[in-house]
Amino acid sequence: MEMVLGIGMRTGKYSPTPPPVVAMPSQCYLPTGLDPKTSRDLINKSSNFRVASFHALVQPKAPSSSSSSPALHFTMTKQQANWSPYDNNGGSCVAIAGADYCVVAADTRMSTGYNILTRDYSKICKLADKSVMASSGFQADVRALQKQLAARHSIYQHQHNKQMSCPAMAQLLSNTLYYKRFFPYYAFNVLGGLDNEGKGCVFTYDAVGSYEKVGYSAQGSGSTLIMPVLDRQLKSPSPLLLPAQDAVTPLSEAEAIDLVKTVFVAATERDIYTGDKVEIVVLNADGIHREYMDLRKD
Amino acid sequence: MMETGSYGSTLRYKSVERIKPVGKHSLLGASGELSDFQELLRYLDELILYDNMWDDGNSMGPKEVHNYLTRVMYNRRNKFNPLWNTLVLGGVKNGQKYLGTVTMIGVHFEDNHVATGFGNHLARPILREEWHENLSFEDGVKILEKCMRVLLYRDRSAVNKLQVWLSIHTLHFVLLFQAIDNLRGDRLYGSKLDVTDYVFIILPLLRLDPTLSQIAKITEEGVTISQPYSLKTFWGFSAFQNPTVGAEGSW
Repeated sequence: MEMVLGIGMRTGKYSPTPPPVVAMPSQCYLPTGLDPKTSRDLINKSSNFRVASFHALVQPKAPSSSSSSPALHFTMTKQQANWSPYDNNGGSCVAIAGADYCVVAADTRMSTGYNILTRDYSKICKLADKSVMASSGFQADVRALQKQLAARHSIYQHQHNKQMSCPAMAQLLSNTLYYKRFFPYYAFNVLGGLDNEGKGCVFTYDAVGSYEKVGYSAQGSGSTLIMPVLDRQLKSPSPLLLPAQDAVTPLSEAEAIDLVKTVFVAATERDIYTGDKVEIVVLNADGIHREYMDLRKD
Repeated sequence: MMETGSYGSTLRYKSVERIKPVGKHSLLGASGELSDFQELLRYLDELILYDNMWDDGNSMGPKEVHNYLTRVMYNRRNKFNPLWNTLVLGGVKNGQKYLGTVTMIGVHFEDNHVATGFGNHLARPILREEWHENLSFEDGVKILEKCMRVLLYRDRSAVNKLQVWLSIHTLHFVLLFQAIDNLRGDRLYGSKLDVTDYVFIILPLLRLDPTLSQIAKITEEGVTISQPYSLKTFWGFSAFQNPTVGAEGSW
């Protein structure tokens, strides 16, 4: 610092350059009270990943200044973390509600970047007798979320001596996701099941727990390819109608399963993260039934 | 037993074990930061110790150990202080074979063949093509050697020395390969020691054949480790004799 000032002083004839801005000591902490807006802030706040670094920049000569000495400025540039706690393992999930059934389906591919890690990994989890969840996104978070919900359901059963209903599970999932609002579960979920009257219900979520009861939904990497097809083919009443009508599809169970298969084949064509196999779980009055269908493996 | 651990681009340590038996039924291999692997082994020591102290005839199998490792890795990731390893866990218990992997952020899965690092790019395709149920031990070794040879040719930091770890129980076995000293790519925050390699495990179903039951007898505790050996390589391609003949001035 002294040397820099010295340079300015030694070139005495010229107008003094303003002292360099040496902002802070080498260890930089975020000011207290600053809520981390993103996980990147969390990373940088952690003691294990260094935040700040100095850069001494030689500024180009300012046109107004007659000084020929370079002005040295120190600026803080925040070093971004190279390690991310998240990864996207891809995959698509779909759920369709019918008058007396519910279909939940997901592909079985797990990827990272441009690699396929495994072709045979289930994204579907049975949370209760009448609630089945399919989740895509970051697999470790998905598994942790499934474990968490299964544990909570177990406690519920001990306390209430009955299974959780699908709407109850839906609320629990939303709360669980929002609990980690500032370090989210990177999981994109659809919850499907039968409500207390035996009618199909589907709930769709974002990563932080915002949810809605719908007649059908798609999440995951292929969702943008799948959703428009479902919008047209399911013949469900429009969600924009007033008075609001329940959006369950009038299609039969067999037709819905067939549509699910078609939709996955379509998504597999264009989405690199969808493929290998689709696992289809059907809930109806007879119980839960699971089937698989092969998809393209490329 | 003698594996090398690199430090950046230096071959720093000459005798580092990168695969360890865990309990009675499993083998754990790791790539990445060696010190973190050693800490994991201490956690596992404690786990197995407490398991043994129950003294109830039960023992932690590969599935249980894999689950434990997944939890440890995931929870460290949640605290933004990961154990910088990719782990491979294989084993056989009660005739059930198991093979799984966990990465440093907690991504985990189970499959018939797994690989770390470069192995995902170069070896998994070969394994996908050639693996099938009812592989014999010799065939299994052949496939893995094929993978290792490709990696030796195509990874600039590979070294021609490998070792086979074999865990046998009754009819099933798990085979681990460990190659020596392959450098990892980008590193963050300067590791003290880089222990990187491709740890391959394949899970063939072994049919009773006399040579193998011989091995099974010897390895009552379940784990056998071969002596380190080298693969045969061929470099005598005519194109290598005068490589710049087609493009003067290149190298």
